[in-house]
Amino acid sequence: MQSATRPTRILILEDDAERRRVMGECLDDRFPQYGVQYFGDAPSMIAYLEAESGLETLLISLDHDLEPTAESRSSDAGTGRDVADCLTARRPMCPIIIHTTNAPAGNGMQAVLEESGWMTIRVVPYDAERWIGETWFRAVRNAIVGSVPTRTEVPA
Amino acid sequence: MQDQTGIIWVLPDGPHRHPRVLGGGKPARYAGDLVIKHGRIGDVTNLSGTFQFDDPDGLLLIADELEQLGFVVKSDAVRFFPQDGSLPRVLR
Repeated sequence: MQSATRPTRILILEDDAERRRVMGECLDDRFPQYGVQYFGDAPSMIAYLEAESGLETLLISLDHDLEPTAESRSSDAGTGRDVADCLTARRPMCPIIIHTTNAPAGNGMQAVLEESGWMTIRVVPYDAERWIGETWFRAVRNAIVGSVPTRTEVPA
Repeated sequence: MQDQTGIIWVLPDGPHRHPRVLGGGKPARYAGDLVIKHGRIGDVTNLSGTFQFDDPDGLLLIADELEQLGFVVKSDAVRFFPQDGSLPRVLR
């Protein structure tokens, strides 16, 4: 797990180091002021969410299929569905991007999250990391900018 | 991207575009991004990792100038992201 020290953060479940690198470059290009926290496995992300850091979250992006990495807590990296199930018990606080090529699993994650009131966006990876700059980052940007509370939604 | 003469340059979105709009390390008066939807500006922001402008009044001026150029800027479209990492807010 890489730590974010800035007050507002973006949380990403992604076990692939190259994908993380490209995601980080894209986020630095537009959102350098926000901390980005990466998780390589579901148990780490669930533990982090359950610890309730109190930090604001702008966006969550979830992969589904995960392989254990060097930083994994156990040989079972879990799946994005495990994190989605954890989030269903929480108050929706930001948009969630589901970035997986596993369509049935992605459908399941989307269904449980939306039933719990979370706004979700699907992004289907393609062509190595090319999709990150072309579609994932655009979805990230539009989700974050679009979820800024309007003046009528902000308490006086 | 607004250059030092006040011209606003707009180009299609993509990664790492801002350093290349003016080129040559030239300074900008303001920088950010915007979305045009159905001929109207749906949102306009100060989001730029290259320039990191932290001036809400400057962003409002950009919105004013876009309107003077004939663009329709939707209500609640002007969205400011503070560089200290605090939560973004709608300016107008």
